[in-house]
Amino acid sequence: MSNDGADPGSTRPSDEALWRSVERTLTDVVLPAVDDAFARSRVLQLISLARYGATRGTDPTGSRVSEIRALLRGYGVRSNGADAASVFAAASDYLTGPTDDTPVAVARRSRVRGLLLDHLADDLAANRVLMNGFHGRLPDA
Amino acid sequence: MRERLGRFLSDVSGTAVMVTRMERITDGHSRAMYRVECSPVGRDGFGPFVVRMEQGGVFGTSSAEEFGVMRALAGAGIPVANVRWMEATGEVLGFPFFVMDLLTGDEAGNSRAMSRESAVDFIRALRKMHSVDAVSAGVPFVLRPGTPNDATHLQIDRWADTYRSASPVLIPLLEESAAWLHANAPELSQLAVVHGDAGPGNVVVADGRVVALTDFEFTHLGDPAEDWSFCVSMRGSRSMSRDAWLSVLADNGVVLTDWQWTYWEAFNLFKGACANRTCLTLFQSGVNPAPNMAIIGTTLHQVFLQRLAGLIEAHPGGSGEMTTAVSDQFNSAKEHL
Repeated sequence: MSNDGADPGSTRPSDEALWRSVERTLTDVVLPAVDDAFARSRVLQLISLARYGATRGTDPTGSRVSEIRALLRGYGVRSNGADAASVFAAASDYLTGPTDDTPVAVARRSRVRGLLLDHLADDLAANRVLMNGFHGRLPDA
Repeated sequence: MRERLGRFLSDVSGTAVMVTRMERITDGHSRAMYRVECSPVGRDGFGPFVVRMEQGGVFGTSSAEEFGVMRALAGAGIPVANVRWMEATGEVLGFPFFVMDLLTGDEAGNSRAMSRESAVDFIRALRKMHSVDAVSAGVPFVLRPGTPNDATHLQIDRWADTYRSASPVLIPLLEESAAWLHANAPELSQLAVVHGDAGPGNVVVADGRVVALTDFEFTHLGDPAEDWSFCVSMRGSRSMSRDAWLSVLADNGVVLTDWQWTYWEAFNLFKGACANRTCLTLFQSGVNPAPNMAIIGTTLHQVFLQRLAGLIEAHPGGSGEMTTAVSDQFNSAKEHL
């Protein structure tokens, strides 16, 4: 979510306020007026998207890429660049490269995996509201 | 849309057709499904039909292949809806589609409900499909493995390429999974026609009997164990417990080893994670801005990937028992599917 409009002097409504308006209008006005099953399903999905848009926070990709790159560098692995494509390619090579079963190598692979899994878990926590919409439920159901 | 479909139906059938009703059927993420009623001129029994339309490349599957496979399977005596006409250019309705006869059952096609009696008949129908000789039946698969043992590797590469073509970056946990699946692929002695998305919700049942298997977009040549695993761990998990499925499968001649169940669950999670990733790209590009695309491309993709990574972590060498902690994690994640 950007802080667009957060300046007290701004005349622009914030992203958060815009998403809140979308969610409440869809929930309180549109949904009760829709009988068609397919259309209701879409409205509920949109409500979950609106809640997600208001609550998901800043995109963590940049900081994650830096974190993975630093971990790999600590293991002597250099990516071709600092961009996401290069760093994720290096991490992929690291996880799929020749198997080294020494305890140090196993622990390092486990640490890289663990970091990737932590990022995945964080994404799932932030996205949980979307699953409610997918299953035809309101965000707080 | 009705008018354009009416003109298409008139052209392909040689009968002046008016579409009198066209209603979107709920659900169906990769294909829009419409129930279509027509008013034919000078011809009785025309329709009702189902129009099954692509959604911009969701899951990277082709309705032209699906149409050809369904037609060939029907010819081989497999219970499949009668497919009528294919429109492959996308020029008529915006996306490619085909038209098939509408089938009705007492357990709606999109429902996950399935009684044990229905499950028995479903297993019989699926086993019959697995035994079809694809070559002699003329089933027009695009991917044809050179040998049975190539089949699983071909599918792993297919799904990896599907996600790679949709994602601007490699996904390390998916790359690791592809390598694990290649390294541990079971040997296969005979190729079978695999449904790829088998189970409750993709079968029409009436009075406990299978009227038709449906939704063939993931069909391919491969190992039947893929279908049984998909049914038990994915589609069927809301119909019957795993133990109940294993019991009814065993009673009907389907028995897999613990390792087969594990491998094919991992394969199906990989397939799902790769396929689901295509939805985010379609949403992001505006090709398909429907909200379910954003949800499938993010959360569902990630749920599959998390479960897959957990399975591989529990079986790094390709065999062995799942740890209790990971098992608990699966059971929790399964609630989200």
